[in-house]
Amino acid sequence: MASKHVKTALAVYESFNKRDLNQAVAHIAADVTWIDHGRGITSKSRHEFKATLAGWIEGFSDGQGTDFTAHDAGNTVIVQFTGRGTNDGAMGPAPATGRRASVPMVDIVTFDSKGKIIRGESYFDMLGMLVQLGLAEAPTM
Amino acid sequence: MSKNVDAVRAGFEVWNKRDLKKAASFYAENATLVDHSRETTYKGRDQIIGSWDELVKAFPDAEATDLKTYDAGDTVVTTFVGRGTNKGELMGMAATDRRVSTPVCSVARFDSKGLIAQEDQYSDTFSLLVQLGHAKAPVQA
Repeated sequence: MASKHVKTALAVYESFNKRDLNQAVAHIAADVTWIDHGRGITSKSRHEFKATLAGWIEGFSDGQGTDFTAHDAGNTVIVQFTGRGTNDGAMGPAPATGRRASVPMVDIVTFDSKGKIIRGESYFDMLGMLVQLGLAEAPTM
Repeated sequence: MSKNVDAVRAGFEVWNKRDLKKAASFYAENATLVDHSRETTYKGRDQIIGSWDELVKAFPDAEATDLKTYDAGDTVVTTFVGRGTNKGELMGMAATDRRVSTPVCSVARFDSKGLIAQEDQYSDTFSLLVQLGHAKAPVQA
C-alpha cells in the first residue's frame, strides 16, 4: 500500500496533468527549494515552483507526466516518470517547434515533519529533449 | 544503513579507485543499466564495464562525489556529482582538457540475492557539452 508521502507526491503530478496548479502546489512548503538540474534553475519558494510548472505548460500545452513509478524512502519519495507533450509554445528563448517530445525523468521529493514537500530535485536530459525538438544535434556516440 | 545501501556505497568507492571489475561484482551477471542521457541500455556485467571503460578513457580522473543515498527497500536511489577532466575523446568529440561536474541520479533495483538487477541513470548531457565548450549557453527552458 502506498504511503501517505507517496500519495501526496503522486497527487502533485495528477494535479499538474489536470492543469490544477493551485492543487499541485497545495502540499508544497512555502519555502521549498526545488532544483531542476535539467533546466538549470532553482525555485526557492512555492510561488517560484508554481511558475516553473506554468513554464512547462506554456511550452507544452498538452504536457503530461506518465508511467509513474514511486519509491518510498521514508521522508523522501523518488518518482520516475516520462514527461510527454507537444512543444506548441515558447520555452524561454526557444520558439515553439510544433514537435512532440518524450523525456524520462526522476524527481527526488523530500517531506518535512508537517507532511509538506520541503525540497525537490529533478533530473532529466535536456539534450535529449532539444534533439527531439530539432533544437540541437545528437552527438556521435 | 541497509545492506543494499552498503552495497551501493561500496560499489561507488571501488569505482572511484578504478577497480571496475569489483564495482561490477555488485551487479547481477545479467543486470541491465539504462543510461537515459545516452538513450543506451547496457546488458550484463561486460557491457556495463565497457561503458565505464569508455567514460574513464574520456575522463581518467573521473570520480563520483557528494553521494546521497535513499533507502527504498529493494531499491536504492543515489544522487551524486560526477566530476572529471576531459583528457580523451568523448562521443566522437576531441578532448578539451576542461573539468566538468554533472549531477547524476541513479535508481538501482536489487534482486533477492542482494545484487543490482537494474539501474536507471539520469543526467543532463547538454550541460556537460556546454562545460566542455561543445555547445553554446543553455537554452533556458
